[in-house]
Amino acid sequence: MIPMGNSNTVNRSPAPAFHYAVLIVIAFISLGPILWVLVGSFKTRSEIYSSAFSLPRSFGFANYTEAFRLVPIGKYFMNSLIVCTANTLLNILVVAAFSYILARFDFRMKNLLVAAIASVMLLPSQSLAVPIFTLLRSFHLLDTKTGLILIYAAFGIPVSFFILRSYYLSIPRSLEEAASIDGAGFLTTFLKIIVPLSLPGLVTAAILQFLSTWNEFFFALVLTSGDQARTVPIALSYYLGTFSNNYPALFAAVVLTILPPIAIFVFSQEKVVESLTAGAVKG
Amino acid sequence: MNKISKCVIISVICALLIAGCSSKSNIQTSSGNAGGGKQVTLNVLNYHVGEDYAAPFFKKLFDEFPNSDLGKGVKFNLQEIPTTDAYAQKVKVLFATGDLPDIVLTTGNYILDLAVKSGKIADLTPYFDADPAWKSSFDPDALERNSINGKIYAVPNQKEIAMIFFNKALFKKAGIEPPETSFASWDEFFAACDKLKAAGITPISLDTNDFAWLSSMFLGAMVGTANEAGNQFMNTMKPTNFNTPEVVDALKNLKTMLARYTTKDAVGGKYDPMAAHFLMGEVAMIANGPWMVPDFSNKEKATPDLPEQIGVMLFPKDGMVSVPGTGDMVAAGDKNKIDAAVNFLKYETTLDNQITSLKMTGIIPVSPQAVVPDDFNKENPIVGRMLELSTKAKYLFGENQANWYQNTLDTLSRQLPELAFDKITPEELAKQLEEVAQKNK
Amino acid sequence: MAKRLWVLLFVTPCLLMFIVFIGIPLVNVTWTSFADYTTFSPPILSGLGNYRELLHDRSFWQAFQNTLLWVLMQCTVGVSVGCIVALLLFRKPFGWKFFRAVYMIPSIIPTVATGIMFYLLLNPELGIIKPLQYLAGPHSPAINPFGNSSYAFWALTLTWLFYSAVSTIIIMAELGTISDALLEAAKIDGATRFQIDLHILLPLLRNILGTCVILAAVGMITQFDTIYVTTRGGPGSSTLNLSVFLYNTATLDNNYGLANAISVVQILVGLILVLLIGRAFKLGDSHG
Repeated sequence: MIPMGNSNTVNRSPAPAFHYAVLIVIAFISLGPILWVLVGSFKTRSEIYSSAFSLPRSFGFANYTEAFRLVPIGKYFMNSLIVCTANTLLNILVVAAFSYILARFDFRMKNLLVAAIASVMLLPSQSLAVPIFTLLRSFHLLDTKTGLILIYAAFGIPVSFFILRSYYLSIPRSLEEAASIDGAGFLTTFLKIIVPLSLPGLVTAAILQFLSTWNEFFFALVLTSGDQARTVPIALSYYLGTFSNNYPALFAAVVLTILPPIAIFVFSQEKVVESLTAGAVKG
Repeated sequence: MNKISKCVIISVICALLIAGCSSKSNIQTSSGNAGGGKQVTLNVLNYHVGEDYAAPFFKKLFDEFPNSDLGKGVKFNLQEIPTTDAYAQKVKVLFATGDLPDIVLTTGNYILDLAVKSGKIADLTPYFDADPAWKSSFDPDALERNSINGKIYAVPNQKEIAMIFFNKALFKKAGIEPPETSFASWDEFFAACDKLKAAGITPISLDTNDFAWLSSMFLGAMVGTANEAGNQFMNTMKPTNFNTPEVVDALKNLKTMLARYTTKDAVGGKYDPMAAHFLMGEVAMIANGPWMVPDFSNKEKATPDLPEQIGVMLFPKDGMVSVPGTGDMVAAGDKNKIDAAVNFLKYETTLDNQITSLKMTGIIPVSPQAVVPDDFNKENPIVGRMLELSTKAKYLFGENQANWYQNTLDTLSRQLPELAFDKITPEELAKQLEEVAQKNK
Repeated sequence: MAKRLWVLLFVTPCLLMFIVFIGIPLVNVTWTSFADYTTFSPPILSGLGNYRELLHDRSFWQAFQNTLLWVLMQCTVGVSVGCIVALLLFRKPFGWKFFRAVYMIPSIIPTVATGIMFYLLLNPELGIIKPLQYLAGPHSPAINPFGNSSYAFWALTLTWLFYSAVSTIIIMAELGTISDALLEAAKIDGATRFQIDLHILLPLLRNILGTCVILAAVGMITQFDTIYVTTRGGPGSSTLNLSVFLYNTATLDNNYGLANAISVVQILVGLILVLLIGRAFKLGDSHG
């Protein structure tokens, strides 16, 4: 802020106009899809197929009522909310502890363990359907929310692990050493120093875990059979038929069901910003 | 560092032990059998839900069966699976894990041979033998198709037919006189296409994506009406000899159709938007079955005056798709359940219900004995006309989605665009189809 | 003493979950990849047969190549876009919270809806192609992005290449932890904003960028939904990747043994990539 001597090199930051050009392009390609889906939710089927850009001739909520008529969206929506929240909490709780150990301590076979964890991200759910189904059956967890929660939490381990490990690694060890000199124990150091400092990372990992399970279809299809455990992605396929797809109702359902995750995202990002004021530590 | 390492190893062992114990500690609870009582609960996966064309009919069946004579004491544990795609995926997982529903509804794909080989499907021959009246109500060909080595394993519930729908107004605009039953030759058919094109009208709705249903109709018809050998090929289950003159010729013609006689989006196109072109009166012809008829009068999908404009004709040379349906199977299990499941399939195929199905879904009865009431034709003139035409067909042939290996269909679907854009020759495509089909063993 | 107990407590729940829900199925997938195993028949060990079959399958190699190409593009272009947006937003320009929220939305919409959208937008009769075609002249050959194998791969690439919001939010959370004092000091030393980004911020982001690249690579290796909704791997094999190939093998050919062999290849390829990326970014090394 303070003007300095050599004014040729100081504060010659690129013109804000260029920044905005980039951001506006980003906003355009990002808002495009949601606006398109929103407009589509008011069209009729023949309007959807007459042009991808046309506006609906009349405005009404017929597609929304149709969406509710075909599927108990409310019920599926609540299931999704419960399953996603619970599995996210479980996942973050377990992985936050686990990845702290892996970020801070060296031991034999650590790389092998990391590789094993990474392999989970690469597992195609198709080939896991049969073994996972058998496993949940033997635990009597088929067609339960608990079953889905456990599976999602387990399959989210690697992504959360990689994100959290990076955050832990960027926290200087000196802070923990100082705490330990002050006589703080292992758990106290973790809870009082590490968790607050890595809150942005924890929230980011949580939001990604939440969103990825919100849209998960295949396990939800294979592992559930009734309304008590089914989630939103299953509801969406009710609008698709062998010889006809009810896209307008599908879009209406999409509009209704993505508002909450968007709200949760915005809220959690606000939390990230707040937690950052707790103090920047790098440098 | 070494201590930490030990800790981790110990925890791995702990975890393994707990995992081992918990999976061992589970007790296999066998599903309680009601014993001698008549109370039976049938597990059914039903994909006729949501947007499915037969959803209302199946809802009616499942609602009414327990109140019928055949269904006394039966309860359903219905599991809804929207879309045949999802259903097929789930059923295959259940085949592998051995958790099949008691009644395995057909999706039209032929998996009977594999299903029977798995040993998880009940032999229904004794039930057919015990009820000759029921058995004789079926077309023998239909039962034959659902048999392996002389044993009947599935109950067919429909006959699939398909022909060409055309738009009379567009024909008139192009100055084409619609033929009585069909164009006498494929040359005449293509001449009509040229005329339509000259009048600025797109002649045919075709597609290539999602197994290329619409294009397959014409491909099959061209092979099936070519000559004796071609017709036999189209009536063969799971053929592996694609490199024949009939198939190559048909692919050549299909290439021309994709390049000249259809919409620009047909290549790479999916069924739904391509059907919409016809429903909105933009395209003159589409090949499909009677289940499409309700769409013609659906205000959401079609132009209001379309129903009066619809004409029906057979494929050129009086050809028609006609396949006895692959049927519903019963999973082998305890006898009470099999009895109840067979009773449901009997109920589904009573002559009355076959007519109800025709009225509600446009599905053609599998039993020749199912008499279509007179008032039906008045209320459903288009389906009525199709039934009338079906008696005049000279060439009958199957369609590839019912008959071919699925990986062959997938190859056809992915290679048709290459054919249309001249990146592969008809001969090469025929050879590829043959190679892929022979991979199934 | 107590410390060791805590380490044990910290590690065990996650490992337990990992071993029960992933370890057991993973072992199952691996051994059945060496077996004759179909939807309708139980696995019987058969040695390397499935792998030998893969080696001779042209579609497999095409899928392999497409997968690697997509991984490469997403790891470079995709992550760069995400990183640039994060650095721009970090300057807190007017409305930055709006842009941050908006950029994430496409990642929240279910793929079934965005897939249909891209399919219809690039449809030559209904979408943006028609006006373009009009400009190109009435007799120019039809442009058909998803129908022509010359364009399909690139058309699909465009449906995801620039949507890197996940990288953006991961990087932004990390940027927030960098102290203002450091930035101020750099400014006082006469560094331009661009120089600060390049010489100060990027090195500090090393671990997190490595993570973003790994996640991008994994995302592309397992990419399935958009391809399935739009092209199903066609035309020809131009948009086939390992995931779609695996799906076809499992559900169309009913060949679980072969499908599991593809899974094993997919996992191995992925692990090698993760390892290489980890090396390149010195991932796992503490900054301080």
